Amino acid sequence: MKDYKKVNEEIEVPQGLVDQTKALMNQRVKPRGFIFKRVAFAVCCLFVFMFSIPLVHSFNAPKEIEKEFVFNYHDKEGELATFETGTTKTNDVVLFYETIDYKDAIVYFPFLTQINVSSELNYKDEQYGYIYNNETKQKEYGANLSLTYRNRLESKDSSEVINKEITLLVEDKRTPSCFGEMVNINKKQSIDLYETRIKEDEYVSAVFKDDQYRYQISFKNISKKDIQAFISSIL
Amino acid sequence: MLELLDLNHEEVVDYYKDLVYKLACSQVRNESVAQDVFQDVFLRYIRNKKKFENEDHRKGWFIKVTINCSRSYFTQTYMKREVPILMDFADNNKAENYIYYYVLKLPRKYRLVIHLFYYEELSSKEISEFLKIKETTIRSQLKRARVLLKEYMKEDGFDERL
Repeated sequence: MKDYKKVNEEIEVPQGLVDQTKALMNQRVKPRGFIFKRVAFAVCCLFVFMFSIPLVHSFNAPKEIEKEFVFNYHDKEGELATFETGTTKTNDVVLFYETIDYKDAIVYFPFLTQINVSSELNYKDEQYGYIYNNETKQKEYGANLSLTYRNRLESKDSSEVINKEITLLVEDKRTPSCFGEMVNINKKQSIDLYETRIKEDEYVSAVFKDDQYRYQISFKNISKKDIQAFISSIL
Repeated sequence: MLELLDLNHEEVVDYYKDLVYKLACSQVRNESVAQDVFQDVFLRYIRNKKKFENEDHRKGWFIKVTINCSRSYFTQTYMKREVPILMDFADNNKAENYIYYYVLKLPRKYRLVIHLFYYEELSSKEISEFLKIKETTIRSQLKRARVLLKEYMKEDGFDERL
């Protein structure tokens, strides 16, 4: 049987075969789990794609803001009835402002916790207003309403009280048929700020527009920068 | 027991080419078919995800896969219709080639144990471990293979060589 071994030893593996085999092996060498990784990657991409759709929608969705800043207009007779449908919360103070054509304006300021009415009351004046205090359920009349408020959003430390005087003037350009409609400035309304002078006082006016109306609030003795911060804090 | 060598694919080919090719030759008895088997075995090695414990484990894997590849070659439909041309060595008239010729005449299972025992110089125990066959079976196959070889050679008047 030694001859058998001898003959076998004489058999040589063709070098061409060896080279070809090596080339084939190198061609086919792929990292372990190559297919699995590709499939896993595809599945991950699919999941990311699927979950990104609602995510993108949530980004694009209108931002829901807890602090509502609502202009709510009512006619004079139905003020209380329609008022109750509003979105005031506890401690909210509602500001009524009566315009020249005797339409009431209700402004909900959830961030107002304290309100002072200026001493000047003028019922006969065409432009006069009154404040409806949500806690006392009473109207408090006054012209050039002077408010002291605590801006809870500006002051992170609740102990700090920022006292500022605000005078609100509402320019109403509504038509009577739209009374009672609620306009929420949290929606995508553009807010323009501009400085104006009424008589001897300087005001910063914030103007909100929607498809039908133009709403204006004028802030007295407050800088434009503060108003900007004030508006951005509530939106 | 030889520790597992750190070989890349090309080094594995160089290390096991003789084992695979010669075993394939003894199994399929045809050089071109043996070359096919050779490539097939190494390509299976590439696809193989099994982790080898030691070099004997890898060697056993190559032996087993070479046998399986050779066997599957004969099960192919076209092979059932064809008679392979025997290797040149089997026709060689050199005196030492006779024994190779008679080994190739043996049934495949006997060729296998003869090859592993006499060329690869594996013990019957090692062969049994590699092939997962009982050692006693290996021994009896070796014995029968020798008897058959003797008979073949006796028929041709070469019995004195054994």
